[in-house]
Amino acid sequence: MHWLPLACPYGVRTFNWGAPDRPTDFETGMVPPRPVGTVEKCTMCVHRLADDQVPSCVWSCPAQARIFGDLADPDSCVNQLVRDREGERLLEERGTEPKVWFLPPRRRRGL
Amino acid sequence: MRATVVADGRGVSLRHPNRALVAWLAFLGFVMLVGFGAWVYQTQQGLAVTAMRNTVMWGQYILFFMFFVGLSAGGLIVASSGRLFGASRMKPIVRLAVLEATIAITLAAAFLLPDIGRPERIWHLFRYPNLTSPLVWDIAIVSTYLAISLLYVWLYARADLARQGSPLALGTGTSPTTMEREHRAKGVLAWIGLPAAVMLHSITAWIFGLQISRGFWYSAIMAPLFVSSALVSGLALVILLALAVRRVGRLSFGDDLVAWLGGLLGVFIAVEAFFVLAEMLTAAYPAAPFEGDPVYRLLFGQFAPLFWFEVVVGLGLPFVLLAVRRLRAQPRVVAAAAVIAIVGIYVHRLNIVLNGLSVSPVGLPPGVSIGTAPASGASSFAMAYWYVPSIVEWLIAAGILAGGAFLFTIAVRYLPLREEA
Repeated sequence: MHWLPLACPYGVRTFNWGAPDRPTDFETGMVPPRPVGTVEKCTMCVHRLADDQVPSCVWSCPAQARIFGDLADPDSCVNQLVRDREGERLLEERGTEPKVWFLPPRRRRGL
Repeated sequence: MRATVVADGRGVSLRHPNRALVAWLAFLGFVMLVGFGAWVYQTQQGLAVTAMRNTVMWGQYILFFMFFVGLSAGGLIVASSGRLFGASRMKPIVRLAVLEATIAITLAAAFLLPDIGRPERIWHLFRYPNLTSPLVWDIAIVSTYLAISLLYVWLYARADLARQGSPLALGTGTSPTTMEREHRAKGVLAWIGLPAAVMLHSITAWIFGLQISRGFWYSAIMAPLFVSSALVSGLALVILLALAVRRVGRLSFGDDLVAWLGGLLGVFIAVEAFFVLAEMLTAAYPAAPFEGDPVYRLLFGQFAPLFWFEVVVGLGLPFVLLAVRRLRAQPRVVAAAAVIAIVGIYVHRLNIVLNGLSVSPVGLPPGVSIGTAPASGASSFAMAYWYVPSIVEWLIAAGILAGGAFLFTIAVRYLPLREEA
């Protein structure tokens, strides 16, 4: 009845409506393809974390827009960035405590 | 002619099949088969063949589920309160109301099946229940309620079945002590049935009303509103079915009962209208609703035609028809008001489900992944989505509805519906 993705206000959880449609030959990499009719969400590449690697999206972003770290550790780089640059979360007022923070844009320097 | 055959309570034997009846049942059987075929197709292709997507995650299946839960709860509330509050004039239709409640809850449960992506895993719900999930509560109350309804039907049909020597009487007789026990059991069951019916619809409401992430649903009025819609649609359907069954001669009651039930339906409609007003006023009063807000969309936006149809045609028109004594004295007017009220409640539920879902709660582009690869040039992300059921959804719904009509026809034909003197 896919209540789960519906209860998530962020649209993080998605439902596999039909068979996967892959325009290119890329496979699903280190994880097996998920079956039709199930719910899934980003796992922050839990299989890579076990291997001491950062999530794929963090690793592959050429602009290094994404930063991954341990929110449970108050001295981690992500917590420092959130503090120093006044990070925000979506729908903060709902008290859902999401684990994704957004850093406001910085003034460009050296142009 | 047939009415006299039927009046002895034995029903018509299969040796003299009624041609119109056979044709009707064959037609329903065909529609059921088509619906089943559509469901098999859907399980093979995945729910991608429906029009539901990640933005509008619930569609017609859940809509019909709520709708039939309401019809069922309404039917049993009518039947039980007739017994509990001594409304003895309802007696001729109590059995019919119980039958209606049972078939409606069966249909409601049937509408959950096609909504499940992996139907073969449904046993997980019972093996690994998450007791904090309203969905698990709902499955529990639907199962309990189905059991209560079946027991109710059996209890009402038992004595007549025993008199016919049917094995369905399960060896019970009609001695004075048994009848006395039956009478007490009916009373006890009414005491259980009424709260169970109220809970059934309240829990279905809490599937919506407890979701803090959906502001439009997150409201304490959800449960009372659902119960009042259940009363309106349930009583309206009981009235319609009672008139239809009286027409084929399987039930007899006077027009005064129809008028009285019509008056009661008018009261239920007024309560429903009051709750809708209380809800919308609370939502719209604090500030002029901004565009993109569900309340705005309901009152002035995309859903406004549906909402104002619900208010003016679905609630206002039947209320006027039923409030005037001279009008509700005519069964035809009561029947028309009942049809309109049922359609109105359906639209009301459509407004709740689809309007609550049609716009994503996070206001950050590019939105929520739709879940399928779009045609080239189109975005696979969306903030809003306009849902119209796909042909597969319609076929499956038609199949399940035909199944309900099939069950009801068989039951009217072979179950003793008349209350013995």
